Amino acid sequence: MNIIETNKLTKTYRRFIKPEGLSGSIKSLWKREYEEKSAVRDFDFTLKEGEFIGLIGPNGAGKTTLTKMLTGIIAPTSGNISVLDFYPNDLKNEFKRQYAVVMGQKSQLFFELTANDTLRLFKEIYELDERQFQETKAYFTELFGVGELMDVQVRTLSLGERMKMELMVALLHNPRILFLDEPTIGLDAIASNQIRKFLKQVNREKGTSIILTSHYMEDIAALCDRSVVIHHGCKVYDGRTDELFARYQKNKKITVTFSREIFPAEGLSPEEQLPVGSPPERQPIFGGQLHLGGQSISRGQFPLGGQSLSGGQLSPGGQPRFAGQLPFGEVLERTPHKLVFLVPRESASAALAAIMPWNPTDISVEEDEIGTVVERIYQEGAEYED
Amino acid sequence: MRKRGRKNLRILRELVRIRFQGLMMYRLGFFGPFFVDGSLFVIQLLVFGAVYSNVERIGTWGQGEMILFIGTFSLINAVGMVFYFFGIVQLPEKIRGGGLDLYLTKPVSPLLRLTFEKINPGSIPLLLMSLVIIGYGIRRAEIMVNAGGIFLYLGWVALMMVLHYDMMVLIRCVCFFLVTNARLEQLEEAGLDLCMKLPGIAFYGIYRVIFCFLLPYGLMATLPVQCILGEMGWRTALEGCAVAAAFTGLTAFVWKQGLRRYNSASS
Repeated sequence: MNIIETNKLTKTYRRFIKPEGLSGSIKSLWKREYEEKSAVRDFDFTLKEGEFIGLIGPNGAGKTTLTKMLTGIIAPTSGNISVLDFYPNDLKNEFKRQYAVVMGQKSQLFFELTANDTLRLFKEIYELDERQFQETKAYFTELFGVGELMDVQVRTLSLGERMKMELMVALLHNPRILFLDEPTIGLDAIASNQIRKFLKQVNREKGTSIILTSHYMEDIAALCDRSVVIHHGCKVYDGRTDELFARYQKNKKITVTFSREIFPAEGLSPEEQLPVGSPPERQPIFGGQLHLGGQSISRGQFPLGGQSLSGGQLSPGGQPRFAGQLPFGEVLERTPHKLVFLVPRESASAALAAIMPWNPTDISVEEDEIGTVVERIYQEGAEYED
Repeated sequence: MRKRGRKNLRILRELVRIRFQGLMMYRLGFFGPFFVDGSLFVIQLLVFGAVYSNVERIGTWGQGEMILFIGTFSLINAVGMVFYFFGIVQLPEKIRGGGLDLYLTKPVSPLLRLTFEKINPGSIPLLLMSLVIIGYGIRRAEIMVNAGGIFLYLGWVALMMVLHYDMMVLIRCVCFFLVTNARLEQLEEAGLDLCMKLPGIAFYGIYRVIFCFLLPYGLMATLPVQCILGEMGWRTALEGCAVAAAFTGLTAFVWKQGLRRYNSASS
């Protein structure tokens, strides 16, 4: 059963175009020009009860505007919208009792007070009886492991702890739909993982339908079976998340850090010295431009014990050097201690295997940035409907 | 309706409780406003004293009536300061900055929550001082009051408080439609300042239209005082009720339209 249905949903804003300079300002006192900006355009969308879906898109794509229309905060310009059989912008209390919204950048906690104090206010707002209130509070306190933090001033909590409290406040009345707008923004890896785990559990155990808006592919990949990608207010993909990744997430960004100088700037020819932070498209590495088989490497800075690296594998014999010709990757950044490069997904394990013998102190692997994926989908013109 | 009223009362109680707890987190934050608001009030009284010590009569009112008028205006103002001023005053910023979003998603009137979430106990002494001034004014004007008269007077004070609240909300709701309401707030300040010193009976012609019907600050303390003095005719009473009802209706309409126009802010 669909609990959310939108049909040709559109939200348009009018923007004043100011001509340049003082004369332009004077002219605009009498005659003004406006442009129409569509934040969301002809958006068709459905959500079934119990689904956990991800709303993906770069900044300004229209994700938050869509969420605000679905929660009734703003009214659509045109199109049809039905959430739990209500027109959201009617702002009916019966409707508002059935959903919750968590905005990563806006808090509903009272910073000077404790989480328990805020929960008391929400108990009254949602008209929960004492027994129901205590039961739900106990459930989430245990789930989030925040028992000892309930009587602590909110302002003294860490960002991760605060987000757990935000979720607890939002889920106190057992909503049917939970709208999450960037819930892991600013959180470290551990806190993000915890939040993801809780959300998964809430979705599974309580049957709460969740719409997750996020910039982080990790959030979407870990939580959502279905993803909707928005670009310039239009839906460009609606389907299985694993399929989305398989089709459009083509690269992995690998950051390798070494404890000693591995890539000295001196001793390399100008062609070999790659500019730091260059766009990936222009700087293919290993495939030709970065030849590290020069003097600096043969000075023994790579602890390879008489081996050289070529074609992505260690080859015995000869001087230790990075012989170039690894058939993958594009350099994003290079410093004496660090190398950041982009490799095709399928070559990531080979690249890591090739890097390991150089004894890196740290390696991190990141997925393509959300904006890149969306651009790719958009450029390839992939219109995918379920 | 009754159920909703009970729910609102429970929420109101919780908002008051939370506000007190928040203020009591810091001792200076709690006790400071008592001193600051009290000092401001004394300064205001000194200004009134300086002005009216040289004025024998305004219209039919002598000094006693004027003191009663000042006390009544102070009372209306003090009630606003205690209960809703600091909540409503933040409305423009919430509209412009998208702070209204989370209020709109909760099953309680956003205006109710906004109105009472910043009550200010620091202004409670002003209430008491206003009552003392009113008592002194009644004595000085040698007015004979009975229970019915006091009841009617308090009724008019309550109605004028509603009008005062309406004006505050209305002026701030402009931000739903325009980027800023700063000039209107200046107008409000000037209107209040003038009408706190000059009773409505001093306005004639176009000034009466402006300060009794467009920016009805001229009515706010004047009508309750006219009532207790026994100077209020049916026409004045009807006008007062009509203005209060019209502004309440207008405020409700503008608020609702404003919510429909609300575009939040990009995040």
